[in-house]
Amino acid sequence: MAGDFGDVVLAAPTSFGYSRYSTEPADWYFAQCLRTMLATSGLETRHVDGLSASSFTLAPNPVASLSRSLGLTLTWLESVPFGGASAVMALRRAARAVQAGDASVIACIGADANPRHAFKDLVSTFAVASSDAVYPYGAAGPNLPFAHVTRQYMDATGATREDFGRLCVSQRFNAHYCEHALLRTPTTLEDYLSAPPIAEPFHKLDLVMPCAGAEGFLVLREAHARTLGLPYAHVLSVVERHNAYPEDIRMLRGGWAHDAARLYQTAGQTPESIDVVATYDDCPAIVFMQIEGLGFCAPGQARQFVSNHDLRFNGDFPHNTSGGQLGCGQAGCAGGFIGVVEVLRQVTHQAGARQVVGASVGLASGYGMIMYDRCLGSGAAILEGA
Amino acid sequence: MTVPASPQMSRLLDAIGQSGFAVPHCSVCDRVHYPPQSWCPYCLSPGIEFRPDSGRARVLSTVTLHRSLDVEWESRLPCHVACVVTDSGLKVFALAESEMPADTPVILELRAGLLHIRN
Repeated sequence: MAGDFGDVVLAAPTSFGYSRYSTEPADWYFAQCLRTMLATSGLETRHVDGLSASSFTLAPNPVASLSRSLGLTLTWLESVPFGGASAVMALRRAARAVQAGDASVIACIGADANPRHAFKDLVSTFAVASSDAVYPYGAAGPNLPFAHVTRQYMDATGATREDFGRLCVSQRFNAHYCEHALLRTPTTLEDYLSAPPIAEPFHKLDLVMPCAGAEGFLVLREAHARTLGLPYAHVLSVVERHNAYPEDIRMLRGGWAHDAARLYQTAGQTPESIDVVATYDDCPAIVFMQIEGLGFCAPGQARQFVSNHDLRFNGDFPHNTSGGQLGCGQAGCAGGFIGVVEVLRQVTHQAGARQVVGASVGLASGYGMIMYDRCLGSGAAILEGA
Repeated sequence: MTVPASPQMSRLLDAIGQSGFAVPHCSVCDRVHYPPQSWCPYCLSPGIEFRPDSGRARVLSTVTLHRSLDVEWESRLPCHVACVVTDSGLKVFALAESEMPADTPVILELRAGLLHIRN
């Protein structure tokens, strides 16, 4: 087996409780997601000795409170609140902990509540740099810096709204086949182009819908997964970077460009050997940068790549096959889990109606934590189904 | 509802109000940064002062906002927000009167507590 995580595997991909608004707090979503994972795996709470928790809305409860409220006695507990990069970073830490023997079964969960009117509070106080120098300029949340990133990317590469629209339409097609997606109605390129402007160049169908929900998976040893009869995937390689390319005034690339060669080399894979891809999709231009940075095409060429490939689950470049956040909604840090959870489903052949035929090796990338003009965290993982 | 500015941003806005425009400057390594911090992000020195600056910049991009999370902005929509890079090398968001093409030379100035650009 290639890779540097030995016999550590992922299992029990779980999505739980998607709804536009929530009436329950974040720890309720942690509890119900864990309950679902345990029911799937035949485990009980006494078997779980590690927890990785990713959430923006757990406060005022600290992460430490989860051991008691979930009925767990743990040897390993981490808070991994890296937004859209949460799952990649959580699985990296959890896999290392299991490999080192610090824990034997770790539940990695991203969960967030979304009470009515809470989104404004979250984004207006997300970071001091944003509160000081972004939010006062129109109170548009992350849409403002990412609209600028998008405009600058369009100017630099010639990418058009039609190019972004192809991506968004393909994901809504995929979402139609995903039972937990909140936006399952397929859209057309005409729908995309005629959608109302929000933060031009962004229009409504470029943007993800804030919601509540939870996503998770288990990290354990291969022999244990076999004993439980669980489908599982090996962790071939994971990369992580914070504050990549700070010298770039215009963000036209992310940390993937820095780390892709090591990602593939460690995994013994190439872009051509990847069967299914999940990128972090809260902005189409950032997806284009991931497609470029992860080596599926040259820098600046994603528009041609998207035009020349079919990104639906049954196409020649299966991408965000659950619909991603554009289809499922953005449940805070759970949004950062969608890619890893869906790729795990695909390479273990548990994706139901949207299963990619013959999927064996998958790549999920992450991008998270907007601070001022861009997100600081990026990463990617390659998984191989057993 | 406006989010209160941090103490360091309040100090910077005061300095801009007094000098026309100013930028956070590290007296140890002689570099500038933005948004303001009370230590230098390059050498970590706490010796930050506010250096008068020409405010000259060029436009990187302009965004037109049609929606806001804050009801106080609704009467001002649509509005234009520019992203500019100052001649001193800092990336700044500021309000604009109109869409401006990339590379348009502009001047940053403070009006009613917010940065604006003008030709």
